[in-house]
Amino acid sequence: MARAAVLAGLGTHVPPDVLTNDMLAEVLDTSDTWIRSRTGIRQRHIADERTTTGDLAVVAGERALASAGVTRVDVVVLATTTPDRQCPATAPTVASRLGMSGTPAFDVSAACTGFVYGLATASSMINAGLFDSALFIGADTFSETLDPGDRATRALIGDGAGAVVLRAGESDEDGALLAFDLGSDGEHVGLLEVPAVGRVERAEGRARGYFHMEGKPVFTKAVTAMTDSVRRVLDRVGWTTADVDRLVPHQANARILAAVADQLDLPEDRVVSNIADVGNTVAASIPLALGHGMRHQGLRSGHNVVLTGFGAGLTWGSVAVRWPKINDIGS
Amino acid sequence: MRSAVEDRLVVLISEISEVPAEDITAETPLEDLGFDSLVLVELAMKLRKEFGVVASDEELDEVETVGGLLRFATRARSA
Repeated sequence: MARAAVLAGLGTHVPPDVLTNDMLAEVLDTSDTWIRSRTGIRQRHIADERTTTGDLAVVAGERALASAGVTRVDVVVLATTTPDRQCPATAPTVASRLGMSGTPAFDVSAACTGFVYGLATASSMINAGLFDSALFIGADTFSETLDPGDRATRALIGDGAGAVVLRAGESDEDGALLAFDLGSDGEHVGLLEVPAVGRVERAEGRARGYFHMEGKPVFTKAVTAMTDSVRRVLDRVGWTTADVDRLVPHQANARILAAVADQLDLPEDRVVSNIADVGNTVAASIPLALGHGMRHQGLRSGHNVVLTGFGAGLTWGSVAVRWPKINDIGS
Repeated sequence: MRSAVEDRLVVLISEISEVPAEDITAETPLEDLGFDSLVLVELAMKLRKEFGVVASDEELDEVETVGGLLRFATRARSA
């Protein structure tokens, strides 16, 4: 059997403060009914001003290590689009706070596809024999990028973190990452972006560095990119959609998830969704959904699972895995 | 005679809008069906899946009535 990266632990964390739809409706021209009907979201967790992406990542990382029953790994990789500092990456401080100073650590930036890209990066280093274990974390405090007056994006986004431990194993073990599909299309960068704001513009109050989203084209691109990516990864692993026990998509919008399920002819009960409780948490979205799936939606060992993501870039990606026997430790 | 695409489209519109299919005519303005902004996009996804018809957002934005959507779907399919 071939060497493969195997999932060995899962940990998740969301910050305690909850922002409900009714709370948003007090400050914006929106309502619980409007938000639910267009996004499927009931509430989201928002990091307070003192809490950073690194803080959330450390908690999720601790939990993933505990879930795997280890205290150290060979490399720490963090997927985030909202790092604590513009420079350096956030992963080294996270590694040190987890007691792993000296361990190689770096960030991966692929927005809402960050979890799939980072999983590909971490698992490839294990497959290549560079490392025998990895802690891979997806974490974002994307709420900090939002225009306080934009009801569309403020309704969607929440903060959180999720992490997995990977270890070197065999490709026929449960938990082995079996196949990936990754892609990008920079021609549509303007559909989802947080523009950089120059020092002069900021000083003069001329530009706003807020997250900008073109909702309708993003909907179409998200559905088609995730659907096509899932089909490609299924081809690679030799499964049909009927073989998929659980699809765990990036939690972009409940109606996007329903459309993906429809395109793939997957019954909706096989599509894991926790968007109602946490919103779109960017790089944390898929691991938070995995924890939710294990606790509430029947995701269990032996299941054929496909994770799929789509986000700014544009970027997309999918991975196939037979779910292992692991304990999820989450908040 | 309506084509298979048109018949199916009316069924899909009826399902999404919960307006009975027999009450949907070519002249029915889409805004009368209680669609929100995402429904046209969802319909476009259905067309892609069932008929291989690819609609751009610009094309969809120009559609105002059920008849417009039918003409668009038929034209796109035969193109």
